[in-house]
Amino acid sequence: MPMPEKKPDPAAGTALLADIAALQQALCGQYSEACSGRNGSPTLGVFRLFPGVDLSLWSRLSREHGLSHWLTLPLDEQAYPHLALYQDALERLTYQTDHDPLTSLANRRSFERTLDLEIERARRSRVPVSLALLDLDDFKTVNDTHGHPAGDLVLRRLAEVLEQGKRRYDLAARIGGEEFALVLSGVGLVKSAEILERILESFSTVRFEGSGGESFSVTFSVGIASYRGNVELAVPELVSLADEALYRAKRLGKNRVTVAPLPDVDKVANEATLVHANEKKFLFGK
Amino acid sequence: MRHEMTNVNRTLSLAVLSGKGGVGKTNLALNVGYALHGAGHSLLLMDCDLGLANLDVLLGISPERNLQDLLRDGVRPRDVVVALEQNGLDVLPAASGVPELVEMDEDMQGLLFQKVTDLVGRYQFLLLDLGAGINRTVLSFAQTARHRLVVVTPEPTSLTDSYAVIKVLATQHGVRDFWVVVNQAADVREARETFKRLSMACKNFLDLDLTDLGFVRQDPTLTEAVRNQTPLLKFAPKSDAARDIISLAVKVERFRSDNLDALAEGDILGRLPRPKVD
Repeated sequence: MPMPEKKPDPAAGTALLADIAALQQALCGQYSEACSGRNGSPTLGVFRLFPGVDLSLWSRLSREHGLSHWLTLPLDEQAYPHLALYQDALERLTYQTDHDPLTSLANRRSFERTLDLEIERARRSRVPVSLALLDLDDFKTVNDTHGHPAGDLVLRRLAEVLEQGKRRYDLAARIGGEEFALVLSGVGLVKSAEILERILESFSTVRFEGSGGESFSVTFSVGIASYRGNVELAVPELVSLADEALYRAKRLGKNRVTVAPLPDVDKVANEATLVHANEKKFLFGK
Repeated sequence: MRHEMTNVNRTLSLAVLSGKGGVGKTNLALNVGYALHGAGHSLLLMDCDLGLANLDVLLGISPERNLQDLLRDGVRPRDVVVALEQNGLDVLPAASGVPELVEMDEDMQGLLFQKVTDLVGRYQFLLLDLGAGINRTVLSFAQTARHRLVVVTPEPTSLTDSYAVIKVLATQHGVRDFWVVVNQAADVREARETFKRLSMACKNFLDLDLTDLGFVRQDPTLTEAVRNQTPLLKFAPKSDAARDIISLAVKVERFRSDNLDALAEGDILGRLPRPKVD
């Protein structure tokens, strides 16, 4: 367990300010009643440890950044290792609420939150977002034929291939047993399909070894749906569009990428500015 | 109380637009510019047809820099402006073949406007030659100018496109005042009929009163002038089209002299339309 440094560390001060700013923004923005500090409401002390911040550094920070209403507790060396343990545990738990333990990808909960945000972004800024749902083909047979350890390895390798094949800012998630998702921001159906075709191709070259030493490969199917912000649309609607496309990919013979119809393509035109037939008649009718 | 005058020279900014391309918009802007200059006014012609500019081509000039260079740090408007004639007939050319610039985003527009603000105040007239179509750049420039001149020809396609651009500006951006010039008219009768159709459609569907600024007759001399890369008003000042353009210019001139006080108080180019965030 590392011990706190004796010298104050300016970088630690920066991290501290960022954390406090994030907390204040969350409390005073989203939950403004928490910020107003009404009497009689439940009260919570929020703790975060900042190794490298001593009382002199804190005094300066609180003076310069108007944080004097924050309480601090200097910890002696007996208390610190103990609390650091709690903090590690908390961080681990926080990680687990958002991640799938087998593949380390985002889990369903984290996926839904991201998709919700991306749909909101698409609606406000009219930048497309695409959702790809992936499902391993005949995964039950893989498990039955080659054993569950080999099946787990397939899931982990697909997670790796997804992580490598996606763009840095896309979200890859495992949202079910053999079901995965990619949230692709800023791209529509055509580009998303290209990305997924590439990933499909790349995964098809991966060879696995079964419980009896036999070699095998696995394929998956993909359904993609895109949203461009022109209609109101919620997470379940986009998911079900992608799901229908995925179902179609399975029916067409698996190992392929299929796209869903655009939910908002007919809403692109602004009725208010459209030049209607009666107006045209007025302009050049005989 | 001291009243700050924002427009010392009482510059009248006028956006020339058409919806449809190929209706003689650039030629008209150029020659109205020459007519106003001939009447003793200083004037800046700004080629706002970003992406497919051709004011320079009509003039037979090949400027080294253009309006798009203004977006670069350290380039000043006076580095870009080209003098066409002495005593204040200048042109601010634009570049062709730069599709990225056709749809300038609000940051680029803001930067451009910031750079040209001081420059345009030195002239009595500012003519903005806008591109065809109803893209974001066209709509922004059309709104920001003090007044708009819609160029229309008797062709149904031109009528529809002009109507479409007027409709978007009126219904989406609250622009209510438009001047209309019927270009390439066979005769007075055809010009009147064309204006009547457009103005009745605007009255009926948009509750909008258009102002008839006049017409320019079809004139083969204009084609010759273009081939010579010489403005018609220099090439054949007594031609039918040149005379029509001069009478248009007189009306523009009169509007400015009738509105000097109002012009002194407003900005030359109004505030840029705010981007919509919903």
